[in-house]
Amino acid sequence: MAEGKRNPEEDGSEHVPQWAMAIDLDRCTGCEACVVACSAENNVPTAGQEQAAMGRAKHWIRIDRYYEGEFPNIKVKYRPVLCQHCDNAPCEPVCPVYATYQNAEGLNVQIYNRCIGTRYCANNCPYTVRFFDWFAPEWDGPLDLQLNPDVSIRPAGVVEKCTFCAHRIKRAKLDADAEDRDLADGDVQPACVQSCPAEAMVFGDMSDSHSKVSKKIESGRSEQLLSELGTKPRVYYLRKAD
Amino acid sequence: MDRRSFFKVVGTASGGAMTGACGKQAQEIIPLLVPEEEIVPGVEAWHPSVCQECGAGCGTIARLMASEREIEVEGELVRQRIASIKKLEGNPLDPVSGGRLCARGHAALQSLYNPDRLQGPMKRVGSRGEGRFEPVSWETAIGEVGDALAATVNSDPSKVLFLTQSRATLRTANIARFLNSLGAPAPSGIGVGDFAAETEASRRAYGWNGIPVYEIQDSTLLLSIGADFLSGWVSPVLYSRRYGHMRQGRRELRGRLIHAESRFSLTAWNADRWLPVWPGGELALALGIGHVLVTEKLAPALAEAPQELVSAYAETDLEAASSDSGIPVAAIQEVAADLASASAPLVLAGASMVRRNSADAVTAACALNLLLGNLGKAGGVIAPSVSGTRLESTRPSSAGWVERLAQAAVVFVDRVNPAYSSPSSRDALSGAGTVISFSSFLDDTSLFADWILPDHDPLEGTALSVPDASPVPAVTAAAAFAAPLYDSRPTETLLAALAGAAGKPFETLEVDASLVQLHAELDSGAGEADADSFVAESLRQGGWSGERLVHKSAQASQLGAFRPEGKQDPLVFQAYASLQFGEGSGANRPWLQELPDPASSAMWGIPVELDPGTAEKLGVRNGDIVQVESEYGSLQGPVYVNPAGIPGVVSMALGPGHENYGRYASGRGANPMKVVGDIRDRKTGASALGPTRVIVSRTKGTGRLIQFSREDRVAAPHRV
Amino acid sequence: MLVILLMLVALPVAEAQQPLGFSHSAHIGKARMQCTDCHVGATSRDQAGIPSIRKCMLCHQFIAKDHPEVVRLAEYWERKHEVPWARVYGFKKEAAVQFRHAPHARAEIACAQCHGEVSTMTVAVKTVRHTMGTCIGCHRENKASDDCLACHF
Repeated sequence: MAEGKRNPEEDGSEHVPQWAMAIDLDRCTGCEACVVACSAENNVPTAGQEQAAMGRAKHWIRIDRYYEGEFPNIKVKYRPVLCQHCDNAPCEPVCPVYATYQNAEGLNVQIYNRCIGTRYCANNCPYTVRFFDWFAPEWDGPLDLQLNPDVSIRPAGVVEKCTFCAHRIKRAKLDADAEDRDLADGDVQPACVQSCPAEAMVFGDMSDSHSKVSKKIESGRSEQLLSELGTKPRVYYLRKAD
Repeated sequence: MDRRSFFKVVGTASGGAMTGACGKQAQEIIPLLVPEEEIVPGVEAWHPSVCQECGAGCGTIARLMASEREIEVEGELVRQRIASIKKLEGNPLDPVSGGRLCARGHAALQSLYNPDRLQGPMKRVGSRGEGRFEPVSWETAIGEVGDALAATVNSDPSKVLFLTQSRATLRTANIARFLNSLGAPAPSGIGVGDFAAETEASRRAYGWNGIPVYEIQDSTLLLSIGADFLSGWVSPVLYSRRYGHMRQGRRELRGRLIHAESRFSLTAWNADRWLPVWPGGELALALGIGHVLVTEKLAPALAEAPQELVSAYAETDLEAASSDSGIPVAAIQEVAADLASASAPLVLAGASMVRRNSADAVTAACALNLLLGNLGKAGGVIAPSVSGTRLESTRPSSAGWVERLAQAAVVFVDRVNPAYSSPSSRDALSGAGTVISFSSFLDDTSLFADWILPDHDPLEGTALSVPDASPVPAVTAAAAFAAPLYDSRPTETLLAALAGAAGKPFETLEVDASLVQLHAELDSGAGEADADSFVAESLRQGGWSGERLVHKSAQASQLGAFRPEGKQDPLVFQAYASLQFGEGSGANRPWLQELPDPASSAMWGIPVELDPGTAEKLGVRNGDIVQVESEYGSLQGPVYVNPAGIPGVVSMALGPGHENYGRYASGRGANPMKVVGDIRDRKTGASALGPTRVIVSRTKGTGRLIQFSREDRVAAPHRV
Repeated sequence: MLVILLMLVALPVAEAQQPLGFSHSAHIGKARMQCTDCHVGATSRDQAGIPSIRKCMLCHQFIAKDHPEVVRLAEYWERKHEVPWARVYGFKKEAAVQFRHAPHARAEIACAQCHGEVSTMTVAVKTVRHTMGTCIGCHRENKASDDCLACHF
């Protein structure tokens, strides 16, 4: 390692980024570009009609929508929902094999080769963002040519979910390392954030008060999903203004 | 990564280090037309491309990496190293996408790698429509098709019919050259969602050639009439970016959105106020709002507005406008007052769902901007950017193609699927002379073809296109960068071969040559660069974009008379282009099939949307099967009771009901166009998507509603 | 004794799996080539990479054309086939390990530490066991991350 460079993994006194996401619901249109971008980036397999009918379709990010009122005075409330990367995550303590935990950077991590498939975590997640792999995934060739080599393909019998594009975080760190510099705000963009046409999503280090995500969180419109549960999510939603 | 640093990156001489679009690892710039063996394992290269899923023409970048595939060569399984595309993203340098991409854009990859792609030219052996084909060599195909073409061209070239999309692309320019050399009529643009009404309205209201560009990001009150601009209309990525800015991109200023549409679309979701206009009542609504602006002297630019227009609005009967549109008089008055009092009001007009009167409706709505003094103004409406490539003028029109199909001796079908989008054309197709399809799939139409001569996938070929809407004059361009997977041939080159075989040779205009032409026409606009470096730079960046020019109307408006029409009685049926399947072509991408439908959360099938009242009367709930019947045809499908459905309006997305379109789409659900029937916009001839009167009844037919999320109310369970 | 016997049995099997008798020692030891001449990504990229047959033929169009293994190589070349090399090291898919070569090279971990003294081998054989213990031991020794997510994602 070159001198003068921060390496949080080497020295506890160094800056450890605290990853967080802010989603501006006043910008979000519900267009689902993020949903497809995520599947493409993370090798999320399509379940197919029969499995989907059994509730086994996987979307690491989805748009939840609820109608309010009656025609013609009807509104729809919607938001993208992904793993909230909770500081106080209900999924973690119920895992008998410690396959899921929060790492030093605040990511809620799922270690597939450790997972034994009890599904306790998915059962305990109030956001229902964890998906069980009932089968090993299959792609009708040559669709498999698209698979992203940076992300492991999950075997049958494990639980998978949003990683905040951990592989992109890793890549950004390695790039910064190779160029002998610190990570800059905006260096890490998960696939959903990167694709969002309305630019509703921002990702970054919330321990850096100058980062874009910190400014969004401090904007006065920010709230957390089901905050009454005390899960302390790392995903902040900015209320729709009226 | 921002535009500037990306520019720095792609601008580096070849071989330089490059940071990817998202701060990805250092990579090498891949020279154009990469030999696949130069792709190194574990190294990614980003290459500019042009999205061709819709006419928005977003510039994209494709992530190329080494992959291996096993192919059979002379009975032996062989490992082959190829460069495969892992991901598509928006090109940060592109003024339209700005580095962003929609759901359909991402899924374009699943067309390239679709397991049901045709692997080479084929000739029909069974009877028409039976679907039996045998592989042939390109030489045989070109020879025989060339003979058929020669025979027709020498006797009556007017019997050559070329069906394609209406887009401003080099492809359409080459098609026009091909037909010109044959002495045949110009191509017919028959795509659903070709925005013929918008183009016509732009000419009539503003005197412009092309679809107007709406500066919604700078408006404080946006009234959109008939345009679902957040999920598919004209340029969804551009308008979503601008929408985001309108809402939260300005300090202390949040633009409001009022949206008038006959379905609770994604744009309606986002609106502060939704005007549930009766299908076909968009014209009445626009005239009604104009009436209030004029008669109550609310319009800020009343004095400058054309007298013809002012009288047309003044003569409108407000009560009739209200009953035809289904919008109460009070609501029309409120919206007019809102427009009048806003500091930067803007009317965005379109026809996401084309009606019989769409050209009139969009014109009347566009003309509201004349009352508001919005032409060529910040936060207003600006003329379509002229790229200078002359591609704009090659947009095919759609008039009269069905009639000509019945008479045609040689029919070319290019990137359209008339057997799906106009089911009534099937009879004419099966009776037509020689039918040649360039489709990559055995789809509803190529099933009727005598010859299927598969094109490269758009991601394997070259492209040059003028975006349907761009903030600045721009073209998107791509060189070929991934070796074709199969024995396909680029249609534009093939056309030259066919013309040659028919004894009417012409030369295909290549992307490079077209860029050289653009360079010559730009004059000083191209900067210091000479033609060669202009071409190289354009291809490296994925296109060219110029300086923003804002100008007012060049010609006077030619509004013509508006013909309001009475409200059709319920129940009426309308089809719409969904954000996942577009006009239907997205249906063979598994990602899009499994993408929950925004309204119903349906996957692997599209339901028939009923309003709660109609559903209650019929005694049906979500997932029950109904039959929808019109004078044109009928369909069966599962019900989704849309809590926001307009009472008496039945809606269904395009996409299901392909009889043939690969394993993911074939035989899935029913085609809504069978019920809509062959109805058209009177002024433009564009296919209309309703309204069509229907009878709906409960039935025990087939169909299935699979939802990702079954709940659509938080507290109370479903009322039905 | 049993262990040694097993190893003796195992070695020829590993060798027999390669389609050609490529000798690392001839290339590195005698011809003085560097590992990265062929495994071009080993120090700068995720994957070290196995060269395409084109790379082999750059030299073997001219050099050692009569060597029996090179003759067999040329047969692949004539048929325009890649050589179906068998992987010597690597992780099982189920392990869900994402390994990146470049940072290890930057940390000056020698190739031999994970791959053994390949320069003295003929056909490369696996001499270092890549267990999680191997990785973690080294990571801890070098104060590199021992977060599971460092490798499993």
